[in-house]
Amino acid sequence: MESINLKVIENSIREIQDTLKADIIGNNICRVGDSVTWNDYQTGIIKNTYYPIEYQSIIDRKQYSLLLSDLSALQFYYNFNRDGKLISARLALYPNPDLTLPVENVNELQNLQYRDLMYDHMFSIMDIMSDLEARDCLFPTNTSHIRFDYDGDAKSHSTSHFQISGINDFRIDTNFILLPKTFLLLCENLMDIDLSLLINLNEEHHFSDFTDKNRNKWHFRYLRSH
Amino acid sequence: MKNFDFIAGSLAIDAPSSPFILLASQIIKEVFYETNGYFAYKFISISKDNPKNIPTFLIVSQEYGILIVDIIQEKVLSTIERDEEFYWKIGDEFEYSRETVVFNYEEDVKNRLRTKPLLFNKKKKIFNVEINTLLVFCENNEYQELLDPDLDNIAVNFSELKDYLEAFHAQRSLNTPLSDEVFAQICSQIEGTYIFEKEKNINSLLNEQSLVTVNDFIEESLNVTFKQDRVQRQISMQLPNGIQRIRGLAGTGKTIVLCLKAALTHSTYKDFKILYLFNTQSLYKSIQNLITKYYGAETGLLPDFENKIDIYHAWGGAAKAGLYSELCKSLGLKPLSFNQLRGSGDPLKSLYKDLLAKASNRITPVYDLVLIDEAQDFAPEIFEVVYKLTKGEGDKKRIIWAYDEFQSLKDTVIREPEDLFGRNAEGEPNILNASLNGNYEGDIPKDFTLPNCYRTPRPVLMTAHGVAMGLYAPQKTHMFYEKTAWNAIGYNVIQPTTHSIPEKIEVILERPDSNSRNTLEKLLTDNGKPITDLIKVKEVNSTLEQFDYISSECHRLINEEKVAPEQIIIINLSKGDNKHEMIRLRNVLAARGMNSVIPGYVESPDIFQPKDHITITTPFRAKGNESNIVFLINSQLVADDHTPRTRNSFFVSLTRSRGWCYVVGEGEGIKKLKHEISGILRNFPTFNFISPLKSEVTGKLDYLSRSDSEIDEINRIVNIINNNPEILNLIDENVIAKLNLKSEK
Repeated sequence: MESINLKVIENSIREIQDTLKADIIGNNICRVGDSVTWNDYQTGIIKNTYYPIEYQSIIDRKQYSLLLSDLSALQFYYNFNRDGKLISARLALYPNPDLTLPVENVNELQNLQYRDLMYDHMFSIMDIMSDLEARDCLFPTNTSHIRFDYDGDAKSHSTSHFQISGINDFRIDTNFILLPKTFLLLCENLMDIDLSLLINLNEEHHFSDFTDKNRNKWHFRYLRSH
Repeated sequence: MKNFDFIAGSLAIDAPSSPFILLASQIIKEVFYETNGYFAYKFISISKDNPKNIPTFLIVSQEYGILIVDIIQEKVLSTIERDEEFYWKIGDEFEYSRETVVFNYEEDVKNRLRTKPLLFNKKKKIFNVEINTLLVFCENNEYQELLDPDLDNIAVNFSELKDYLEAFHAQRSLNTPLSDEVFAQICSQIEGTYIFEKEKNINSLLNEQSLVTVNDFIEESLNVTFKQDRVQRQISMQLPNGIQRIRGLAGTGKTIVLCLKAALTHSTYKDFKILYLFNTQSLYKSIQNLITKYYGAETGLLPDFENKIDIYHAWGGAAKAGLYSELCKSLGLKPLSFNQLRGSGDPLKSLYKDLLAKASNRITPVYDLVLIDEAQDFAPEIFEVVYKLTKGEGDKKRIIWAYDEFQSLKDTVIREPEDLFGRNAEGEPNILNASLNGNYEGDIPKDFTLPNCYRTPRPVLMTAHGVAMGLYAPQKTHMFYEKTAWNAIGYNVIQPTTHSIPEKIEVILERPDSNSRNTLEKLLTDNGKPITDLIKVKEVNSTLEQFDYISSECHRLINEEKVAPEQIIIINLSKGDNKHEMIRLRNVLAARGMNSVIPGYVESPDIFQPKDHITITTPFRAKGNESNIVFLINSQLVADDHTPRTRNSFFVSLTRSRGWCYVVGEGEGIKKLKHEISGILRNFPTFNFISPLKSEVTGKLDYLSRSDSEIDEINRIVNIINNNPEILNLIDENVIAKLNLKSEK
């Protein structure tokens, strides 16, 4: 963990920005003092909320570092102290809830668009619960964000772990801290964005001992480079 | 020109029990008819007090300043003094003496004026405007003994009122009237509309430097006193005792008028339940803000949005209350979902139709006042539901609807009351068309037109009209054959001089400067810039080139011309699936470091023009909003499409601008449109064209007022007849003319 510093983080973010230039539709990344954060950073996670509502709130309040063209929202937050030591970090992906009904087919309803569908979905979900016969409703295919947290002072749980918001108290502990780019690659399957240009096998030592490309994307073992 | 208007307020409601007040209003009107200004009945706007404690009349004029008149209709039996306060016995009850009421009101007026250096000299502590009061006793001849000797109030008996006012008038007739500037400031302070002034940029006021950047011009044009014009004032400060229709072009202040009515009614009649119905989701916040701002400034309180004022989108859902969703809730119905509405040409209409079919008899009146904004977007089924929801009988229901037929993005025009409000059990219309004839108290027409455009500069508005109607296009989309119809939208007919306009003759129309209140046109002219610069047409070869041009121009506007990003709206005219196109544009903007939002597609529908963000949107979603810079993309689609739907969406998009417009497009289409627009601007400020044959106009009003399914039905019949010409012999000549069979293929 000693090797993580502000410069490494900023390089990793810069690489993402450059490589995904054609897919970024919102960029709020900023540096405040010794933190890498996003503009108008608001603390706290919306808890115990239905995911489409949580997602929309993130979008509407611009609580993301990057918004991509598939409407995935990414958060990158790293807080260092004056000595350059990492105090806390938070990386998150809020995937587009993606309603089951493709948006394209709904354009026959002139003027009604994607978010209207979302409202309608939220509205009728209450009915679905009391009336399981009703099938005339849209469902989201994604129902959770995924995040990686590091908190050097954590007492009640491990200092660094993955968490999936949809399942309470489910944490995957880790003995490493992710860089933005690695986090993004980890989440590749959750996005409709081509990340292949981000993978540079020569540079990414921790991928180098895998030959199967798919396994490359999903592994939790961190190999220190020699 | 001198105008002395009457602002009736709630007089229509109070009139039956106020014979003296009606007489007094006649007398005031007679005596002061040659002055410039207005007089208002129970003008609550000034006071935080309840309506009972408002003097009867407030007269504001350029010649006499301010005169407060209170009419005491009942006999005052006695008077007592407690703690230096006088109370009057009227009937069996004691109440505050009217002297106290008038005194308090006068203080409220003075407090309003005191804040403006133009009206109050802070060093000398004197007002630059005369303020007088008058008490009028109707049933007391010995009124002097009722008055507090310390207050020095002037009082008369009702029989002396006319003589007194005439003398008052004569004494001041030689005085120099107040300047226009001072008078405008008084009106703005008195009416409380100063709260609508755009925030002034103090630096630009103090800075005498010349105007250089686009933003300089915008700031300067915003530095004007927001004073309602007389027409707006009359309509917004009046509460009718029945139905009312307000017709107003884009930017004439329909929404402000309706919000003022809502706020004033809420402060005058605390018990009234009010519904404000609208159709554009992004308007929700601005409506709430306008009502809150005005009501707050007037009463120092927050409006009661919990119990008394419902601001509803026509639809609604779990996230935001709307009329349909709330009705379903209260009637115990399961709302229809989007899936069930697929294929419906007008989903909103289908929703309300379904609602009426299921629960028509169970809808009960709950609202005392219903205000409908953007009424051109609402199908009759919605009006019928509103009819059932409003208290009162027939045309005495307080339903007020504001519309602009050019902003209809469906191929329909606003219908008459008989077609809107449904029918009773006997099959008769609930409200007759004739209900809109005539005036309410104070000579306020029941069918009202707002002629002045505040938002859109004249060249932009004329371009919008010219293209919407297709006046310079090979085919006309709309045409008015009556002079009055042109007057109603702010044009003078120079030629022909007859009342109606025949087919195939030269028509010359002029838009007088006085109907456009945006000062930008004058500012540009004064600084030696051509006003036609306000509209730029940009021809490119591909969609990507459109995006590149827009992104580099936005970059220039923001960085060199100092325009705030939220003052830029980009409107996509393409139909169908335009989401990906808008996301692509957003990406191009982001690549240059500019953030943007796409309300309703990415962000929620009401996230419109957030600070530091450009807004990318569609004509439908842009409605009701305004900004200083508007870009239209895919404008080429307008050139060969003469349907009202497409032409109106161009109109709606262009009229969002209170400053500059960019009409961007690709290919042959944009060349044609450019040709059309340059024709319009070449003749500015006149239109000069040959009136089309009625049969050539695509948007025939007669044809338009029918729904899509009716149109389909007509087309089906027309086709049958055209394929079987012998049927024509069986049909009445008039019907043939009406259906225009000969021009159909």
